[in-house]
This record gives sequence, structure tokens and C-alpha cells, in this order.
Amino acid sequence: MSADAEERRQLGARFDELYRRGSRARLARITRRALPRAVEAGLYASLVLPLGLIATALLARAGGPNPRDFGWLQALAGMAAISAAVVAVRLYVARSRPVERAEVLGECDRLLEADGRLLAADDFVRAGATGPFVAAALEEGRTQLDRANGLQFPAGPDVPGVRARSFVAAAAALMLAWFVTRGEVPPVDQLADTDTAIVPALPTNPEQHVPEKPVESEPPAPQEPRADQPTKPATRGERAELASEGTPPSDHVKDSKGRTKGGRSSAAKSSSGSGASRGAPSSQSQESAESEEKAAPGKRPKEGKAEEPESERKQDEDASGATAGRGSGSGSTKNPATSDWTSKDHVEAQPDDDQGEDADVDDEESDSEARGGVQPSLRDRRPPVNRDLQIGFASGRPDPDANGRGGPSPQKKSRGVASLVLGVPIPDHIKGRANPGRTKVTQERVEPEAEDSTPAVAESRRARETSAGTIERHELTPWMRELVRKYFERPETAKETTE
Amino acid sequence: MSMQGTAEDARRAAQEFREVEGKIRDQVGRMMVGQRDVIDGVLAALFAGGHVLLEGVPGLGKTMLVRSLGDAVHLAFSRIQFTPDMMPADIRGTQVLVETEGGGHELRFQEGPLVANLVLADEINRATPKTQSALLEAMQERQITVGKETRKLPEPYCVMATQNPVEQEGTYPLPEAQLDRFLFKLVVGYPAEAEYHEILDRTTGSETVRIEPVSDAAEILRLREVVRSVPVPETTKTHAVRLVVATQPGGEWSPDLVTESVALGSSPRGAQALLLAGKVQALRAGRFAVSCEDVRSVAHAVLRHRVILNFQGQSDGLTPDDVVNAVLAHVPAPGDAA
Repeated sequence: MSADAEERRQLGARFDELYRRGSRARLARITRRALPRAVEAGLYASLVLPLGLIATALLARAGGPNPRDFGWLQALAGMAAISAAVVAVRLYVARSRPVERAEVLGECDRLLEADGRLLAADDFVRAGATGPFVAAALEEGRTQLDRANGLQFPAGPDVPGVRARSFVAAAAALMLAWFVTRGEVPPVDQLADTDTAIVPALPTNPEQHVPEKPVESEPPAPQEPRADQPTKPATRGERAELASEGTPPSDHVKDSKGRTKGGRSSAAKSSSGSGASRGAPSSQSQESAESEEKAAPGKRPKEGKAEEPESERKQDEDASGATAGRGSGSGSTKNPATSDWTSKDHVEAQPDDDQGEDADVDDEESDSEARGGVQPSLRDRRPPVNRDLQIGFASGRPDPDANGRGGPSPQKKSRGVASLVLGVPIPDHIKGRANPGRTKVTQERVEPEAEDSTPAVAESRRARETSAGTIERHELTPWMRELVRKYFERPETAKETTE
Repeated sequence: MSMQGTAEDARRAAQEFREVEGKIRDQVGRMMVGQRDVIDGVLAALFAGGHVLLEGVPGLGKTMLVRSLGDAVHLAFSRIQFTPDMMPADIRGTQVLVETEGGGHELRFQEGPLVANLVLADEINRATPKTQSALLEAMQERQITVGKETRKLPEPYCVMATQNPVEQEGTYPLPEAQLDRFLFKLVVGYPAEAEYHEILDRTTGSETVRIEPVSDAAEILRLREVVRSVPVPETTKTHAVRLVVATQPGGEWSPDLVTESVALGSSPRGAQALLLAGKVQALRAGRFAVSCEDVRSVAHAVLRHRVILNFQGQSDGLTPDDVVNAVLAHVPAPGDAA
């Protein structure tokens, strides 16, 4: 081995040693910088276990494991283990990034103010470069290596510590774990009987806990399915009925029960069972509101359907608009002033909020079921659909047949473009001949007046003696022209322009 | 070859470079007041074998700088004042009919002003693209072609073009292909207040400054060889490449500003220019290898005319220098990102 090669090998070994020192210092700095963030992540991760226990509590409703099988100490140990694992992983990830040789030697250059001499010399040694300038660079690198022997790597800038919010998260995790493991979990029947699922299972006030009951306790008697009722889960309507137990049902309720099937008539019972609905006319709306509060929203159409026979029976009275004093859940929307069409098969127009599509489907189903499912729908006996798009007659009187739905009703509403014009009936087209229309010609008689004018006298003019001054030019400067051109050449702008 | 001997040669060459450059700078400095960065840039381009585009408002001494440099290095100097009606033959030269000694006639090539060592292309953006393009071959290939005849241009060959950024009426912006052929684009700014006094004393007095030639073409060529022999560590090459890639939209090292506001980034010529100019910087600093700091110190001059802003960048009022600043901040030198 030549002396030159041996010299290079020794130089390379010294660079390797400097790199090892520098990388150790760099890793220590990385660890110091990553530790607070890793601890924060660990504290946040301690929330995982309590949240998992909450999920277990939810599963307990479905027969899963009970979170109380976890002990408080077990949960605490689990949280600590999870946090420690997260901290370890974060630190490992931070330290696993390889420390590049260039970074370490570049930092040494910066600390020694060597202007890249160390980096260049190390590069030339490892690449085996030769030449006069390489040799000179190696000599300079050797000199800088001597200086680097006593180099102290800085500890790095101050790193912000662990933020307080992560401690808050950890404290919350501890509290959650304590409540879940030491707290009370309501039995399955209570969970099923309430609409709120999670919060009652995790009470925040241990003093208000109900006594501990086994989760697998038998459901109460009202939950048992009866032979004459479908095995459907308890609905809000049934609970409302149970709540109003003791109030004698009205005759109307009994009629409804007799004509409808068991479980499906619950809404009708609860709504029409309000005895105050036959009270004074002035309290009609309030009573209806109460009924609606008690009844489920999806069941309101059935309420109207349950009363349909009655409304059919009182058809003549309804047609005259005499509904005052007979409050019902939906009320009467009949307007005698806008419709004079009376028929045996007349179907009242229900308010829009009570005539959803779902409601129609339910109505048809219940109708068919009430009649044994063999009678045709009432709609089959309706008059043919009026397809006239004209809103009103020529006299301006509203067309009672034009409701846009193919049947007699009050004035058409909320259909087509005309509905956008607020209440102004505008025909779709105007019959007649196209012409400019009437022309109003106004004639005014004005006496002519003479005007004074100064005639221009031709004369010889000399050239301008002074400067014309700055002539303003309105054209764009080249860079502005270029800017505008580029703007209009943009794909988006071109598209907008063509559109 | 012993390690000690070769290092001594390198030291001598580097020392010679610094001395010659110092002499030229002193001579140019007798005429020019201030503008140290511009003078350094012009000298770096001369020693690196590149061309320079000088941009500045009128009256800042751009033409005088180049003329002074031509006087100081004793090179064949020519000046071309570009105008919109100038044709390529006006600068390259053309075949003219001359009478021979025997009484006959023949076509002989009459050289244009482009045939010189140091060419001052004054207000280059006033020429039409046709004439501007006539410079392309001269700048890149160091040769001109007239008809079927190709002539090599004398070495050292250096084009120093000036353009005025304000008076843009009736001008033709240089195409990107030509801009890319300039090693540097140097922005000539206003002198400092203290420099005004010196400028006034030198230019309004009775004393006439004469510039002595302190170098010649052969010496410039020899020093160009010295510059090219400066080695570049692999780390520095990597850093230069990353800087260039960072100017390209969507590049691996590009900052968001580049992706959003740049239409065209630097070509590989930009990386070549970074290293060549970095070598000059290393010799000036007394080092024998190019460091990352050398490359970064010339990044603005090398990259600012190679970055073309898109519409969004122009509407945001960005300049290519802003983009280069963002690139330098986004791509730290080794050891800086500790």
C-alpha cells in the first residue's frame, strides 16, 4: 500500500470518527426534541382504553362483555402500557431516520466556520478523487479535522415542554376509566327502554346510580309479546299509551281499536284519544298541538286515516266549511271560498305537511287493510285528470280543477314557473297576433325660433410655437398587454368567455 | 505524483487567479464607482466562460462597465446598439463583392460586430426576435454561420447584453431559449448616496480616467482552465441539482410557492451555471473545492432569469428573486437543518 493511500485511509478513519461523534450528538438532540411530543402523544393515547371500555359498554347491551369485568387497577395498568408504547414508538420513529454523513460534517463545517472544507475533503477521500486541487482540499480538510478534535456539539435550541392540554386529556382518561370500571352500567332492559344510549350507561354522578342489577335480568312483563300483538319492539306510541294509563279512552278510541290491527293503531289511539279535541272551538289549535307532541311524527298520517271514516260520514258538513268546534289532529283545510266542487267522491286536499309521499303510501295500505284489501282505491273513482296548464279562466276566476294534480282543488299552487311569480297569475302564452301593439302619437305645436350663431371666418394660421405637451396614451404598456393576454389564454377564462 | 507537489501547484494557480482578478477589478473600479456585486458577477462570467445579461435603468453605467472591462483585459471589444430595424446580417456580417488584385471580383466575408472577444449588446431587447436569435449560435456554439460558411469566434468570447426594464414600448422580450444561454442576469441598482459624490467628481472634472490593460486573452483562457479544474464534491453537486429541481413546478424539492406561481423552472443549464460560478467563488475564497455556500451565493444571479412566473405569480406581484429566496429557504445546505 502506497503512502498516499495509507494517508487517505487514516484520513478517512478520522472522518468516520468525527461522523460517529456528530451523529451521536445529533441523535441526542433529536431525542430531546421529540420527547415532549412523544409524551404528549402518549398522554393522548391514554384515552384509548376508556373509550374502548365505553365501546364495550355499548356492546354489553347486545350481550357482549361487561366493562365492569375490568378492574380499576387493570384499566390503570392498561392505560400506562398504551402510553408507554406510544412514547416508545414515537421516539423510535424519530431516531430511526438515518443521520446523513453530509449533515453531520456540514454541521461541523458550520461550527468550525470551515466553509465546507471538511465536507469536501471527506467526499474526496471516500470517492478516491485525485488531482492538484483535490490534494490541496485534502490538506485543508486535515487541518480542519485537527480543529474538530475538541469540537463540542451544541445541545440545540430549547424545546417547548409538554403542553398542558395533554395532561388534561390524561386526567379525563383517568376519570373516564374510573367511571366505566367502578361506575354503574344500567341493565339491558333500562337501556332499551330509554332513547339515550350512551350517557345513561356512563353516569357522571355516582350518587345518582341505581342499585346494581345484573345485566342479564329478565325484561319486565309489558315487554313480553302477546299472542294478539305483533312481535314488534315497543314504540314511543305504546310508551305514551302506558304513560297515560288510567285515563279512560274515548268512544272514538274504541272504534279505532275495533277497526284496525293491533300494533299499528297505536298512533291513532294516542292522537284521537285526547278527549279535549271535542272542546271549545277556540282551543282547537292548542289541543292539536298537544296531540302532535304526543304522537310520533311518522304516525300522524295514520291519525288522519283513522278518522277518515268519520270525515266521510260528515262529508256534507265539511263541504260547507263548518268545521269549527270539531277539532281534530290535522284540522280541516277545506276552503269553501275557493272551491265549489262538491261530489260524493270528493277528497279533501290535505295540508302539504300532512301529505308526504310516505303518508300516501301508508294511507293506501291502511285503506286496503281496513277494507280487507279487496276494494279499489278511492282515487279510481276520481274525475279524469285536468291537464290544462292555464291557471285561471279568462275572466280571472281561478279554475277549481287546475291544481296540477289531476283533480279538483283550490287554485293551483307551487307548480311550474308561474309559482315563482309571487301570486301573480301569468299565462304561459298570450293568444293573439304578434304586433308592436298600440302606438300612441302625441303631437305638439311649437313655434320655430331663430338662433344666434357666429359664423367662422377663414384665416391663415401659423404653426404651433410651443410644445404640445405630454400626449396621454391610453394603450396598455407591454407588460400589461402580456398580462391581459395570458389571463384570457387561461383555460378557465377561455371556458367562461365561450360560455 | 506526490500529494504535496500537486497541492502546491493548485495553490499557485489559485493565487494567480486571485491576483489577476484583483488587478482587473481595480482597473474597472477606477471607472466604476460602487456596484461591487455587478463587477464581481461580470468578472465571474468572464472567467467561467459565460455570458451576462445586465438589467438596469438608464444611467447606471452598464455600458461603461463592459467597456472598462474590455479595456482592462485588452480584448477585442465591439458594441452593438440594437434597434428594431437591425437584421441578423448587420451583427454577423455578410458576403461583400470585393475586387481582387488581378482585377477580378470575389465574394468575401465582411465580419460583423459579433466577431470580437467582448461584445456589448446594448439594449438587446430592442432588436426583433430574428436578430436576437442570431446571437444564439454565437453564444452557445461560439461560432457564426453565414451562408454555407461557419466561422469560429475568437476565444475568450463573452457577450454582455444590457436591457432596460422600464422602457418596454417597442421592445421584444428575450425568448426563454436565449435567456437560458446567459450565465448570469445581474441587476444593476442605484448607487449609494456616498457613491454619488465620487461619481460626480470623476465625471464632471477635467481629469480623464484611463484604464490600463492588465491582462490579455491568453491569460484569461489560462485562468478559465484553472477555474474548470476546481473539483466539486458530490454533496455540492447534489445540492446544486436540488436547487435547480426546486425551481421546477411539481418538483420533488419544490416549495409550494414554486408549484403555485412558476410556469417554467430552470433547465440543467442552470445547474451547470451554478457549479461553474461556484468554482469561481471557491477560488476567490481561497478554497480548492466548491462548497454548498458557493453555489448558494450565486443562486440569484444564475436562476432569476431561468424562472418564468405564471399568471398567478405575476398577479401576486412576485419576482423571480422571491422564488429563488423561497427555494433557498426550502432546500437547506447540509448541516443547516440541524
